[in-house]
Amino acid sequence: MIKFLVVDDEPGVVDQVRDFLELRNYAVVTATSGEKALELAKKENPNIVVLDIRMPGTTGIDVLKEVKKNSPKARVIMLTGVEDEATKNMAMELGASGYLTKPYSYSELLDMSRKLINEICQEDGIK
Amino acid sequence: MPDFILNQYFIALLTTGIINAGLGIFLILKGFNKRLNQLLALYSLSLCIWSIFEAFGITRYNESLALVLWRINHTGVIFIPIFLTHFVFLLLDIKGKRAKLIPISYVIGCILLVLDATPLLILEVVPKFSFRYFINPGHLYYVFFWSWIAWAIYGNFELFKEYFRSSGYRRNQMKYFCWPLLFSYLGGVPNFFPTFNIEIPVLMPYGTYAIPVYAIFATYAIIRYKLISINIVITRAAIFIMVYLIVLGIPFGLAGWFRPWLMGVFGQNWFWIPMLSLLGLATLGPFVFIFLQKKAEGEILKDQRHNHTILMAAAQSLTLVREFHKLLNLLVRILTKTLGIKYATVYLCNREKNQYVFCVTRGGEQNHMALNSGNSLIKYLQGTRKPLVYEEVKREYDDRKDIFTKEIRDAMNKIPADLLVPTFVADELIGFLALGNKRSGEVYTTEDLDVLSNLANQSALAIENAQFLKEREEMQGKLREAETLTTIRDLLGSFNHELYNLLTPISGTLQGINMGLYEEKPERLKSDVEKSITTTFFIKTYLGWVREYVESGDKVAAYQLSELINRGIAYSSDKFEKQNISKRVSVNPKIFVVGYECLPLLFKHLIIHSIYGYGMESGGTIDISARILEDRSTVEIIQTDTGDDLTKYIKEGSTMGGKKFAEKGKLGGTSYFIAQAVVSKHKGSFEVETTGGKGTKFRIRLPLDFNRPAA
Repeated sequence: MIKFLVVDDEPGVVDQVRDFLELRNYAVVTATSGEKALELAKKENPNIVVLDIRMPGTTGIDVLKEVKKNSPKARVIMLTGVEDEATKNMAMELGASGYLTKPYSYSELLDMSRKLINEICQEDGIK
Repeated sequence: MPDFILNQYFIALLTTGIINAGLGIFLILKGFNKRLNQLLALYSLSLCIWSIFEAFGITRYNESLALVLWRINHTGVIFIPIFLTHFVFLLLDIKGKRAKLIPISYVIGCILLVLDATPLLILEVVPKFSFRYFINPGHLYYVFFWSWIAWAIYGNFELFKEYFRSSGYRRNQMKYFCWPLLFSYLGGVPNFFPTFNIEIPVLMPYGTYAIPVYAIFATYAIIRYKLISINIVITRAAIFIMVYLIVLGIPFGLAGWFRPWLMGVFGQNWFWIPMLSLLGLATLGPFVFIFLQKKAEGEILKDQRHNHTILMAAAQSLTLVREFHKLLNLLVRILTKTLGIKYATVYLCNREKNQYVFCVTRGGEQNHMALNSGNSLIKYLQGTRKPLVYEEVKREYDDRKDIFTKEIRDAMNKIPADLLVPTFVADELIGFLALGNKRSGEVYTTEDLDVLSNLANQSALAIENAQFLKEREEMQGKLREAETLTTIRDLLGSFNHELYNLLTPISGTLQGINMGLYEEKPERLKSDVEKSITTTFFIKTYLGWVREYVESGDKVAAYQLSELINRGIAYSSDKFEKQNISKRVSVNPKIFVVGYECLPLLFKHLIIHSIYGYGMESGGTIDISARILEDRSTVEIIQTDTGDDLTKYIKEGSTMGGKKFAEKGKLGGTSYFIAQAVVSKHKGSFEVETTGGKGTKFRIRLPLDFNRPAA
């Protein structure tokens, strides 16, 4: 079963995304800080991480680095409230698989997630 | 008595001859290759021949020797007007048809030279009046005399014509030629009269002394580039002659006319009286001369000195003007008005470009010319540090024809400048004043140049000062602009992020309704919709605050600190009441802070940050105090609240960059950022201490006047 980790410093946003993904039968774990996200990433080993870039303390970029270091196969979708090309490019260079600007549509998130799930399945030989 | 008069003639003629011979030699030594010098030397030579041979012609006992001397005398007389007119033509640069008169005059001169050896010109010499021998005219003498007079008048006429139509430096130069020439002819021509049996007492022989006057003045005028006012020269000469006539005249008068009386009174020692009087008068003479000279020149230059006093006073007041363009405009205005000159232009050094560039003019051309620092003119000004008169440069070039002087002349033509006055600060040429001639046609006197140099150097200091202030202001403006832009960019970036974050749950709620996410969770739907409604109000408030900060102007004013704090409290007064929050303010009402229009926002948002934070919903205290630090230029403001500490929210992930930004404290995030931006704009420091259970403490340090460096 595909597992998502949703990380955002806005609890309301996290709750909504979790509800949306759970309705589509995905397993979801959530975190509202970078530190908590790293802890869950190690523990839960998610396939896809939906990660807010700008967070207090450990930022989304810090989390991305750690996640890609510890679980290179994990796909990361970055979320941000700022359309910043430099940050976007940096995230992509660090191994992010996609990038969504807030407020984003759930269908966008779903499309991107499905594409990544297909990749994961092909890698693992699952049809 | 006849012998006395004859002696007077002899002395006058001999003196004239010796002076002219001396001048001729001087001119040859000074620059024989210069045509003006050559002609003036020849003119002096002809006067010398005339006067020396007449002096001996009239005093000889031998008739035939006297005749020979008189004929030689006329070889000089014939060429006097010819050399003079040739000199005038050259001086005035007369060309074309009129210039053909010169060779014709030399041909006529040569014919007369031949005739001089015949009785057609000088018939004979005979005793006349007090002269031992004087000439009787031949048949052609009348023709010679009138042609001589006509030619002399023509030479004078050309000079006076130029004098009346010229102005400024040229006019002053012409004065040196015109009036002395007329004076010398009026004094000299009566020497012809005994030829026609006419004698004019006094004018003959003393008028002869006027003859070398012209040669002296003309020599001075052609060898000196810088000519002082002829009025001053004449006054000085007249005072000198007057004083020394008295100094020498009284002792000699005593020795001559009063000798019998003195011998009767003092016996053999009579000569001590004229000797002692000579000694006393000679000692007093220089002092009397200086005293009279000062008095006379003070009278002549009264207006000019008055203007100089105004200029010097103005020069001192210039240093008080701090605004650069105002200073330059004032400078050119003072110069044109006080000196009555046609224009005044300021050129200043652009150190980046290494050029001297046009800055401002009054009455001049807006030609925006620039001179490289390697230009000969700049080098000359740097080397000499002295004012430069265009006419002098032009004449110098006419004489020398060298490239260096040509470049200077051309540069002055282009600027344009009749007079250039360099302005120095220490050894650096920071610029120059380009001035036009005086409207009155008067030339710049040496005193003018001294005063202008002084003014230029005084203004140089003022200009440097104003330029420094201008550059500093521009730099500060740029820094302020950059700081403001950076602050606004950061603020907008942060606000953007918050806004998008706020919009995300609203968008999520709407998408959830659309997708049927809430069908099984109706309570969750209600809660999310309420949150979305509240969020729209947050967004409205955010927008208002950010706009308030961004649109606050750059006007600077002095604010009473206590009043600003009270205004901040007043903004949230309803919250203080509703949440039962007490306040303690301890700020000296005498503290004033200079700041931009955004300064009041600091206190408004500090209080908002505390009041909207966690832990203050059911009461608490906000404590604000301020004190002047020891440097006497900084005020420290401390605000503490009894709300929860920030760390708690950081741990919970409900803060943004260390700022309170929980769901309930959203407004605090933007307030925090605005407060920080205001402090940064005023070059202050912003510190936050937040410890568990002790609330939040802001420590802000602001310069009392951010425009002034700290003491």
